[in-house]
Amino acid sequence: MQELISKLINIFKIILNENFDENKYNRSYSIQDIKDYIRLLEDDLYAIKDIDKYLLNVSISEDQKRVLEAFKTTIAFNETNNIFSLDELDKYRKTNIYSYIKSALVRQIILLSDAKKAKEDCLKKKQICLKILNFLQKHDCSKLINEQQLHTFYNFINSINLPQEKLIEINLLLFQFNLMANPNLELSNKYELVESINKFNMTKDQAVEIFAQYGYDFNLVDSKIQEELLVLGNVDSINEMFSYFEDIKKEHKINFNEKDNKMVTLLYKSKPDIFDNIIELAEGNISLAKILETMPSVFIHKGTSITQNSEKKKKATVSEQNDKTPSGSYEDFILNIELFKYLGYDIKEVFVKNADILTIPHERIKRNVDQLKLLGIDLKTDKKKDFKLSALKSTSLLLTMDKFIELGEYDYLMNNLSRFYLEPNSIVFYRLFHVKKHNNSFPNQQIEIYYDKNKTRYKGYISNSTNKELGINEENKISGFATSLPIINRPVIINEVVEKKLDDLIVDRYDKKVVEIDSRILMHPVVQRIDDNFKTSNELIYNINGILISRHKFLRNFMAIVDVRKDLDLSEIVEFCLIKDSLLT
Amino acid sequence: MKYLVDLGISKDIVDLLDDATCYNMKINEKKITEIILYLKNIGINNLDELIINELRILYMDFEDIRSAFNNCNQKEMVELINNDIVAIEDIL
Repeated sequence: MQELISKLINIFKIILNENFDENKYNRSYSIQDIKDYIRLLEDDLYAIKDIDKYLLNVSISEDQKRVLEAFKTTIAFNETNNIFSLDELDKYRKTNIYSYIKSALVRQIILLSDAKKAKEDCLKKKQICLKILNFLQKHDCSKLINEQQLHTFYNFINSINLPQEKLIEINLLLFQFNLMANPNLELSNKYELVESINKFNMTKDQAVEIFAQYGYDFNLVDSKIQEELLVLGNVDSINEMFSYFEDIKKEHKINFNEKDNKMVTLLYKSKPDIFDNIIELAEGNISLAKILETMPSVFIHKGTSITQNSEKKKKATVSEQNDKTPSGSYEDFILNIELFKYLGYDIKEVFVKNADILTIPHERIKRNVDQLKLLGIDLKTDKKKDFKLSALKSTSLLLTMDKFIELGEYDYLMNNLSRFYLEPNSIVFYRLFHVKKHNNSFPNQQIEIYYDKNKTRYKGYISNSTNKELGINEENKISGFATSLPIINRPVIINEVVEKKLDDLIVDRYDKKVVEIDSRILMHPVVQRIDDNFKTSNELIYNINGILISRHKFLRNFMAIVDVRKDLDLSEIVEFCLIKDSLLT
Repeated sequence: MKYLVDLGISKDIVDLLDDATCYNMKINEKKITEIILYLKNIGINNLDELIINELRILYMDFEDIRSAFNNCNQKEMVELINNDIVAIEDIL
């Protein structure tokens, strides 16, 4: 223990010295200086000659540089020779040169505010590092480091930019602490361990022997599974699982077979108490054998998937993945079943008709249930008990809803709630847009969208990807659209960099969270004006001169941006929030 | 999950499935293949949409699926489903 601690102390000392140089964040001018300069430029064109000082870290294109130089020269020349009147010079303000200048300065502001945040961040982390170092230096080596403390180390280490080898070295040391504290390690997905030790926990002889004890032949097991068992299994827990399987064999009709990969996998990845809990939860509604057959992943703890390679697990596409490395969904299964029980669903029905939803990450399901409630669909009280639960799998509930609203298909969505699971860039939306546009331009040659007289189903050329009649497919669906801000005849203030930052604000605030519209934002004068002019009878929809815009989208985007970006014009923010992600031409 | 691609499902769609679902579907390859072949047989062609919107069907009992289709106007049902996959919710 002492040796490990000394190693750690050395490492943290080095980190402290090498990673926290706050001086690199200092600049000779502040954000306020730039803002003042922008204002100065409005009044006094001659101030342009100082611009280089403020554009130190911002890159502008060669063309723009040339134009800027020419402009500066003209101004400087005029200062001494007075050839142009102020009015004539003033014309320059209305041209593109001026907007380049302004946007470059705005970019500089953004860079600086990042730097300011980065500096604060740096100081905070330095404090944490000092605390950790203090703790280690005073640590009493007769005591183990507890899990809470290890947490802090892991989080800290993974939050600074260390080179890969250093990261591996430290993680290994911390892993050894963890092993000492808890020999039957149940790894949670909070730690991403990079293990370069290919240690076998069991020998093949031990495996053969224990299988034989229960009447099975280890050699009949698939070779990849054999290897995994020897690395990850241990004699005691495998013994425990075998004996448990014997106990429940008759009552629950479980059969063990060496060639059944999933059963062998469960020997070293599952535990009897997982089975007990699932049996209790299923309460006779669903048979254990059925669960085992349909979704064996629920018998394994979440996050249990350790690779045996020394490199970090590469992001192989799903269709090429090593299919024999299971990832668990025990926790999600338990929590999901509890949630559906609470919502008043018949668990047996859920299992028979919507089984796939039980292994979806619980946070996502819960988030969607809560979000739907805020949109007016309460699954607990609503009598939509024949509600097919696919909507709850959605990773983009609100964006999909926006798309349906803006195409005028809100009713279709409400009648087919499982359509919430469509991706917002699905071809269905592009086809709908084109057909509606065509129908508007050629009222006598309408293309039929709906199938049956109840008008709740689409025709194949809208919603069936194998249908080629409309000629709109995955390759050409996006051409002809501008889903970002339309650039009309005005100075380019909101350019790509600024727009990306606005995107970050929206994603940062609302990705993975339930969005509740703050009632204060409804009182904002701008929002009230827009509401008064454009709100329709459906409080989720605006009608702006014939174009439908999702009101929820506008409100939530506006909420995210308006208090943070006070450097932008309100009208620009409004435009961005209304138009973001809309299909326009 | 090669077998899904071999049965005619687009690779992009298969790539969107999450880990646990993939493992469970891999384990049940035989059963799922049987269901997909049956659906193809009776004339259903929007399998991509099935994976996207109605994946739950592939987790169901084959017998339940077959009897549902036998107890309805199969031709009309298949046509409705080929137009809009959510029509399958009328019988399953």
